[in-house]
Amino acid sequence: MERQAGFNNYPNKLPRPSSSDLVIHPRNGSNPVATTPAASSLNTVINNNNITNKNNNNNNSIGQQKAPQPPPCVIREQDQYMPIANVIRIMRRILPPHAKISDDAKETVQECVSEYISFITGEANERCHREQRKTITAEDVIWAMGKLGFDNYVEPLTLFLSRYRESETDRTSTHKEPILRHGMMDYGPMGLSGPYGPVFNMGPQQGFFDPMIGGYFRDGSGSGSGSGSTGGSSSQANLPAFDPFSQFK
Amino acid sequence: MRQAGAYSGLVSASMSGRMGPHSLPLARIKKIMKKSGDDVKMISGEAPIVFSKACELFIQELTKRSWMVTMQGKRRTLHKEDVASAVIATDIFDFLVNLVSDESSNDNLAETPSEEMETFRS
Repeated sequence: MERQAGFNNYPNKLPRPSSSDLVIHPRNGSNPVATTPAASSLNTVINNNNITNKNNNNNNSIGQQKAPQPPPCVIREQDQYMPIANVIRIMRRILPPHAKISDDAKETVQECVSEYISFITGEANERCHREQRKTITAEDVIWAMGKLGFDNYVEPLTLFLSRYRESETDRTSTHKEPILRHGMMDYGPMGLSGPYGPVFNMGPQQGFFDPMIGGYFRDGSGSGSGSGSTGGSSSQANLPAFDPFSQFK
Repeated sequence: MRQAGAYSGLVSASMSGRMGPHSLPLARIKKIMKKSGDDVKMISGEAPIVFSKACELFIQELTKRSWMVTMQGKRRTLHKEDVASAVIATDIFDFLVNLVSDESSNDNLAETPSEEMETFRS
């Protein structure tokens, strides 16, 4: 866990020697209460961790520090679940339009999804260990689903994965329309970086895309850029050396 | 510079999923995967993508089954109890039984997922 490096410290139990902004009053046998409003909310476990880390040395020398006990499970809720809006959206797609969903049902499904991910990942991870591999692959995940009873997911997911891989190879192969160079600047190889939203818009279904985009751009380059493009007014000559940004230079 | 529209040409008849932006955030999926065990080290880039689709399928199945319970009760609002009933009635959702029955006490998950898996792995 990158951001919560100090997470399994015991944020609310360790007193701070120096009283700056945050004052923690340890009580015997129960959770100490932090008096700042920020620290009292679960969502600021990260703040507590930072404070704790800074005061590690000091805390060790204080007699008040109790022997480490299992902390309450202080995880930021937004980190351990899928965003509820996404979950709700998927649910609504399935339900008839007049259906309503209670709030606790939404939360329950949200929690179930996280549990599902953990469940499958655990099995996939075990397989990787058995085969002495370090990386959990997509195949491991699909295999684990089959093993754990989700057989009817295996085929759609395998198909999904192969289409995804095709779209990735299509995107990165060199014979594609140069227009896609514009797109490819933004896209990491896995498309997992920030702007992965737009990544897949242009990748797949190349059979559809080529004539459309090629045609589109021919028109655009001819009329829009004026004299800027290499190859000038002749649209046919543009494509091999086409630089979408030439007009902006 | 104008681009082709987001989904033009991307309509795929077979699966409801499109190759477009995934419904679920990949980074969050990865985080949950990592949290599932201490020894989870490296995750390939495709694994969260497969999971995003799988979770969609999972949510759809869970919702469908829960809604059937709701309809049996001649209601129109899907409640947590309907989800719980669907979980109990479905074999492959056994790993969720503790989760839906513990929820009435409304505390965080005290058990680690790996412990639950130990219970349900046969």
